[in-house]
Amino acid sequence: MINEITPAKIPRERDILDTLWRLFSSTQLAAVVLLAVASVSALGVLFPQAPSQATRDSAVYAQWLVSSQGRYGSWFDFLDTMGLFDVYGSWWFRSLLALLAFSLIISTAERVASLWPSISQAGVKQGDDSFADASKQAVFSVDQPVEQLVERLKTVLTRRLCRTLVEREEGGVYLYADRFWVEAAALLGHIGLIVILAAVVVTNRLGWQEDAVTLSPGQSYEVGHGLDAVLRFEKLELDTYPDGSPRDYRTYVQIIEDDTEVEQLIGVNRPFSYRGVSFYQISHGMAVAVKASDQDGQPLVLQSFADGAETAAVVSLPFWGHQSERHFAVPDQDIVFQLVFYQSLPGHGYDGPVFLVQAYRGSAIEPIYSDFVERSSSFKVGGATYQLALDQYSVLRIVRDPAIALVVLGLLLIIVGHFLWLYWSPMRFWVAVSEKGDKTTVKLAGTAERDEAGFASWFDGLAQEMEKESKDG
Amino acid sequence: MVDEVPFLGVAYACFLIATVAYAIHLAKGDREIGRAGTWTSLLGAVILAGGLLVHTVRAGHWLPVGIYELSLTLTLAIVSLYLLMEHLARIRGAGAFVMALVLLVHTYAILLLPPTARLAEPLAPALRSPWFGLHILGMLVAYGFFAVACGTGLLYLCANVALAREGVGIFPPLEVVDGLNYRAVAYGLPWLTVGLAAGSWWAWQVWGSYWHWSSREVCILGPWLIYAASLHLRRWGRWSARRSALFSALGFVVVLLTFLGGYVLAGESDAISSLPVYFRNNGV
Repeated sequence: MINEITPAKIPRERDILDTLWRLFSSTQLAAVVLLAVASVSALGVLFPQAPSQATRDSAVYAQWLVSSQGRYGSWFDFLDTMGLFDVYGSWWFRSLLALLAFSLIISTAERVASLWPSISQAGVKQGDDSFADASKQAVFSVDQPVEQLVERLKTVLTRRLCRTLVEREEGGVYLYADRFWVEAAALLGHIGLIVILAAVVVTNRLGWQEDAVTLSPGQSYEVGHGLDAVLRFEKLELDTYPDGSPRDYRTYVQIIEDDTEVEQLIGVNRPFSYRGVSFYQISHGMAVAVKASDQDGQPLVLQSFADGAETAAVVSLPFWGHQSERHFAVPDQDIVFQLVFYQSLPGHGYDGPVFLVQAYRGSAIEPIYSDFVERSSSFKVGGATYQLALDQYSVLRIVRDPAIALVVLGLLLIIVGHFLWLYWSPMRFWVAVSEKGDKTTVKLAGTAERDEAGFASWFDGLAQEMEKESKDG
Repeated sequence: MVDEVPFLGVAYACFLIATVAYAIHLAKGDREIGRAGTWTSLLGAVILAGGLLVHTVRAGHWLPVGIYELSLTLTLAIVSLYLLMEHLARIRGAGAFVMALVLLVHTYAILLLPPTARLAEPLAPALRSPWFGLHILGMLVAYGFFAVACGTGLLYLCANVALAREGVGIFPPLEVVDGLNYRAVAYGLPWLTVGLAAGSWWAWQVWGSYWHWSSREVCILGPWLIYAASLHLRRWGRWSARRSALFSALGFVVVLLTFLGGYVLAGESDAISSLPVYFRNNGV
């Protein structure tokens, strides 16, 4: 007996690129990466994160370091090496985000490629088997001519779904309806995310920001970054609630460029923009301007302890919070001053803001001067006269983000895409209309991609509406 | 001045009665008791809305901002959205679970929070923004839907166990519960996106930075990622409805942790980057 040799079934060859494409476009990978990002992000909430480089203030960083080392003890170095105190800047978190972005781009490309064929090559005519395989079916008969009935059914389908296609054949008329735009809407969300990712790249490349530009009245700041403009701080206005808490505050500034001066207002939630650069008022507070003169009336050089501060005849010391302290030195006299700000000290008879001023000579522990200063005043230490002038200061952030419009576009695309995709279910609906004797038979079938129980109820309602419409006509 | 506490107490009693009524309805299948649960929930929601109105007048602003105001408004959002979903789906089975969650949040607001958290405080300057209002609205509606998803998820899990043991039971059909569970997540996620987007735009308006990985931002992003993953997994053929139900139930635990825990964490471990601490430190 000769065995018939049947050719072996050759599986479709998949190369490595094909496999990778399938992997990165799969919803499983997308879901796993989304969950991984969520889990890893949580680490950044559970562990205190180091102040970012952009906003790093040495005092703040030192405070963070001391508290974190105290909390984690000998584990601190290990956790620090693992990047757990800078989760969002760590290479492994950024790699995860890159993986998510890559998966997003591939899956969007895959969907774009498959969307058009599914829209343009919709199968209007379906056989009996396809009707039987659909999620829901219904049949009814009416005494209506086919053509008249088809027009009515088409009207109902277009109203309830969106697109209705009709094919006429000898055996009957076939209708197909779907919500093709829902499929397209799903893409909007993905495209929106890609647009935002692109915006982040553009911002990192072309944007810049100056954090915590602290200005007191009369002070100026050169904007720089190719912009030949100077920002001059005019005044700060503060509105308070009856209990004294801040209600609103506004900073009045001038932008000076090429002999032109423009007055502007920067409010909370109301940034001011000038030639693509935005100025934000992120905080305000009490500042003390200090100047000193020796016994002969000659000005003394003072040195603030702020980062990068140089010696000057006048130092401006901004105060934060309730009980913050600032220091400055008088190098010529080997004296260091400490000023502690209090919102009020009722125990000492001060109901309003007050400063405790203490002066230390050399490395002495005992102060050579210690007194409360309530308002702008002067005092003498070691023969020199010191003048304090209290004022309000504003903290501004100056930002140039050329991609902010892209971010807004991306956010809008995501919102619109999500509402369309998730509030309307993608579904397909087939109708076969045929004449049998005096009767016209209408067969309906429908399939939904998700929420089959909800679709079943919706289908029954539509079938009833179509039957009623057919009979009423 | 009228205080909101009596309103909150009566609303609490209504929610307690509604929970019991829904539970009896689920256990016995008594439709009248179920209807009583619906009406008592509605009554509780109206009374709670009255209490919130009183608090609003006292605070001088309509926007819920503190954890106390947010918890109460979340309670109202959960009840309202549950009643809406119940009306649309015409099943009451999830009522017992959803109202239990309502009681949990309401208990936290009126019994567990310190008295200082309940003070009606004026609005900080940075919060006086329509974008912040939209952010809060989006978050509360989303969390309300997710609470309903959690309730329907728990109902599904119970119904699944009951079905395996007894064959048939008093529970609604599994596919109907699964459909309701899906819709609650699907309706909630776009609102969470609105909350996230409006919050980002508000942060841009205030600080010139729409995202900087603060603990509050991460606490909002976490649920967004989890529910987005859940919807992706539903498209995977091998992902079962039971797993989706479990996911919804656990997802809301994360929501509660981030909603309530965000405030605790902000004060404890993330003192540099969190917004509430930022406000406090900078007088915004």
